[in-house]
Amino acid sequence: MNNKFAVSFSLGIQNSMEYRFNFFMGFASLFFPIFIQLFLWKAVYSHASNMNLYGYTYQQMIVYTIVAALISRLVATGLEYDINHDIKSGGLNKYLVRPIGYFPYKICVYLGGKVLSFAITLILLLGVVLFMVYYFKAPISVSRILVFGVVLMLAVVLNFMISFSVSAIAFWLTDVSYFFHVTALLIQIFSGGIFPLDIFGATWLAVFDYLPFKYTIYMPVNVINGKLTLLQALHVIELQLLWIGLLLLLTRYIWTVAIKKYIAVGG
Amino acid sequence: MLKSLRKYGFIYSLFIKNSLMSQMEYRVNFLMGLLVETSYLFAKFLYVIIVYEAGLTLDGVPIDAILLFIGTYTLMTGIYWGLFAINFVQIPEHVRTGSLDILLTKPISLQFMMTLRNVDFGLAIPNVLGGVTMVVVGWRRLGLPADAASIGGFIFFLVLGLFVTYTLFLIPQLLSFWFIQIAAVNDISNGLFELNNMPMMIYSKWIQRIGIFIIPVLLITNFSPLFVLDRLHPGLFLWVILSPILLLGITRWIWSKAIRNYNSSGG
Repeated sequence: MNNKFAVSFSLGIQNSMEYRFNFFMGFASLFFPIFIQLFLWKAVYSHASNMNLYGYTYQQMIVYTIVAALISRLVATGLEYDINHDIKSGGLNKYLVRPIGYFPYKICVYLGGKVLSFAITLILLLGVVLFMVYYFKAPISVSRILVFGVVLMLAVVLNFMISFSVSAIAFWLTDVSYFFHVTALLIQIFSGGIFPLDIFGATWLAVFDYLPFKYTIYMPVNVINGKLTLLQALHVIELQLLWIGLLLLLTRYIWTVAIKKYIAVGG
Repeated sequence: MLKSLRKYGFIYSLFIKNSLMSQMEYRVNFLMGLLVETSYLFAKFLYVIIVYEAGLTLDGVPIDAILLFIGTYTLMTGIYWGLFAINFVQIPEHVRTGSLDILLTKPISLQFMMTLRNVDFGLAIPNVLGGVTMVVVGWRRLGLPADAASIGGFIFFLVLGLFVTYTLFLIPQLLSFWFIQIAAVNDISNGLFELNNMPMMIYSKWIQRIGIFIIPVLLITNFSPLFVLDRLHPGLFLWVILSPILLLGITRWIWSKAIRNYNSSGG
């Protein structure tokens, strides 16, 4: 019976519509970081003798800055705090009697909640793409845009898996809100959400190859700004699927172990 | 006047003592707060890395000056969040829940009580230490004189910046006396503070003018480094000294209007 998933999905859509104002302001809060970085890159590139910094042309870096900010907004979950609340307040109890498991419920609500966000981000990204095509004369094919759409959707799912894995720590730690602040910021940095990962140098880039984070922001941006060939972009999809699969196994294992610690506070 | 100053000085020392005692009671939270701010410090340091790797110099200012600018910004972030913001963010809550009533009965200035009651050492320490370290390293690398005039001038402009910070970022919170939801205003004011993350010279002339004369957010951290680098335009001296006084007057005026508008909704 797939109806329960559809109901959970529509619950997510309703939640996101309820807090429309916050949602739009979330996009407005992207303005200042983008603004500062655009001026930073303008100063850096106008000063640099080499027009290719960290392997990016000025145009590619501008696109990176704007698109990375939009994608980090799109893939952000805030899921850790919800799950922590469910664990600490005994909210997990109700899932024992519901006809849907905790993980499927959360992912359906999360994906439903992302529908509006996805639509708005796509419109904004379309604006960026049109800007690239007309202003930077960047050759962006329809197939690249389609591949980008797939990469973006998988990035949303992958980041959900990362957040779900991280949130299990709430079973072990008493007060985790600070911990989640740190993990969220570090994950954003290591995903390339603030600056391209290339600024960390070759050694760290090699390390990031063995972590899932770069497939949520860094790689999707490089698909649309033309740094990756179409073939490389397809390879990104394979690796995203691989990471989603691995994290699915990992979360299953962690949650099976963690749930044994759960003491159903709140009765 | 002097008696009153001594009284408030004594009360403020009690505020500090109480805050320290309550934070020591929840030591893990305190340590996690340190960890959160250290990770933000790491994010700020990424900007330093980029400037150094790109060899960026602005308006002929040597590259090491970036440490003075970002260091002063980091230091001010610690002071702002540790002394002021931690209180400012509670103002809307006091207004909304009516807990302001009890504060109104206290025999000291309400503004003093509401805006300086708490000190958060966890937020302040990493930023102050990180900021001071960057300033000292930058100062030495630039070969700037470590005499009383230079250090005194640097601190003088820092104190003026502190007054600007207090007044400029208190005003948005006072809107909570008229509007229930001011989260969006908070996002914007935090974004404005972040403009100091980079030296003001990277912005266009018009943005610099707006940031100095209309919403004087760029006065907060730019002028201490500009003074020691001997880059401060003499014409701006008067404005830098006058603007905190002007802003203090405006804040006091809005404060009195706001208090008159308070109707003890939750009481």
